[in-house]
Amino acid sequence: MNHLMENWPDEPDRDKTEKFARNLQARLPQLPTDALPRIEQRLQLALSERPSWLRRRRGTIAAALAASVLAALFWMHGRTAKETPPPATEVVHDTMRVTLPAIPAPVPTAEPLVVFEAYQGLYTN
Amino acid sequence: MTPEQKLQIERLFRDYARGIGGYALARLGDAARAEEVTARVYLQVVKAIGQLRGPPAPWLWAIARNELAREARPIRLMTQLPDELLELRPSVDEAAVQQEASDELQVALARLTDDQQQMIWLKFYQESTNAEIATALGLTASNVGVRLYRSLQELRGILERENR
Repeated sequence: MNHLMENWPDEPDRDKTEKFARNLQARLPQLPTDALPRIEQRLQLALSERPSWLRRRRGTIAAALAASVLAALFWMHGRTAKETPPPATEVVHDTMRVTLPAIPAPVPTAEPLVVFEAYQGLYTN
Repeated sequence: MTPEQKLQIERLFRDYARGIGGYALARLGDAARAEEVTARVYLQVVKAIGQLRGPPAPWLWAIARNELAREARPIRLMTQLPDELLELRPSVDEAAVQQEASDELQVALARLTDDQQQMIWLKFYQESTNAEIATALGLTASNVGVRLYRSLQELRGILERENR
């Protein structure tokens, strides 16, 4: 790394920091050589998997579709029930013969209903 | 995912996986955990590739930083154990000298700010030039040089204080 010290300020302890930086650079820990291929394998597996949010979304879409189909079926059923005409009303004609007893005709009487003369006192002061 | 995004992820793997893995190893000091973190970074990349806008380096760094923070959390909890339990840890004498140096670097790197860590990752692990870093972070090349210098000074200071 040739560009390690680029743009460093010119300060009194620059030499010390430079030596420290070179030491640090020389003993940088690195992952074992077989670690990266293992990580890449896990990465490739994750890349080939369908993302969980998509799985969840597919589930949601399927549920919504099923609900829509059910709702449509119920609606159609309701409509069909409304459109069906009610059963034709059967008119039944029936005849009955009733015999009423004969009412006797009022017999005119000779006597008046009220005899005014008998109650004449009611009309005098 | 579109075929273009798939190609983009493969390119991100080719260009950055080694650097992310190396930096994770420097921070964690354990190859298996560093490998796991690197793998998780790329699984996250697969999920979030649609959100990538602009230069990929800062975006990848943000994902790597989060994964490292998740992975490093149990270690931080261990240091909060009571003294009698901490004494049960392997002593410094038992550890190899190289491992000791690696542990020191691990602790020192973790004490740097996020920007300083990102700068060191880009310069040392991605071997980027100042101009490349400047483009990725929206700085000038000379500013990158000064910031990197200050980050290294800080790292050196931490390591010197640790060794005293």
